[in-house]
Amino acid sequence: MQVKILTFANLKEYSNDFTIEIEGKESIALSIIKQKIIAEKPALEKFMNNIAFAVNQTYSKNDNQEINDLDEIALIPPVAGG
Amino acid sequence: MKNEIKIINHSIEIVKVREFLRNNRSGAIVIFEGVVREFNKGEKIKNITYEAYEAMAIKEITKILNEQRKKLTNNNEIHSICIHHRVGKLNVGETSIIIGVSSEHREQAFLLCSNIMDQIKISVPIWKFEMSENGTYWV
Repeated sequence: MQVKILTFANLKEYSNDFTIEIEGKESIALSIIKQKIIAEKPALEKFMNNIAFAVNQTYSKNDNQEINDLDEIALIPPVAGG
Repeated sequence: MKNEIKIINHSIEIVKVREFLRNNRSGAIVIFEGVVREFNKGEKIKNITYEAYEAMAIKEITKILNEQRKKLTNNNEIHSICIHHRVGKLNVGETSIIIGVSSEHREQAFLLCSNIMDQIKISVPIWKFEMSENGTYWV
């Protein structure tokens, strides 16, 4: 399965968007994806506790949420719209 | 009830927003404009660049709009809501966001406009990169 990881704002200075590939799985928990993000892009580790995550454009606070092939995970630093 | 939510990379046209909101049943049209101000925390601002996760921003604003509308009493008095948020580089004095609400009476429109703005600042994935005389930073 493939999962697209999106970064924004200050996170872009540490990593552009990238794709995580996981062999032999059809779905996986969000917590595992978080581990794989750190493994793939160690520079993002220091932000992981201070950002939100969105799965397919919806916030997710559930580490057990099932992530499927071609899902889009966004790393959301603190927002500042308006 | 009709809504319009847009993330745009050009100047906000207030006349078009007003025309979108106007209808014969509405006795009130409230329009809020957020504007890039000259000073932020004592620093003189040169410009602000807004970035959005556009697909999610539109989803989040839609959610906020529906939730905040539901919370109002007499929410059937609300007729139209229009929200435009800029992305890209804005100079001091430019409008970054416009929130317009039309309703039968003014009270609901003022309240909804203010509540929507409060929530947008909390959850909509939009960021700003400020350039001041002292340097640049993500807000």
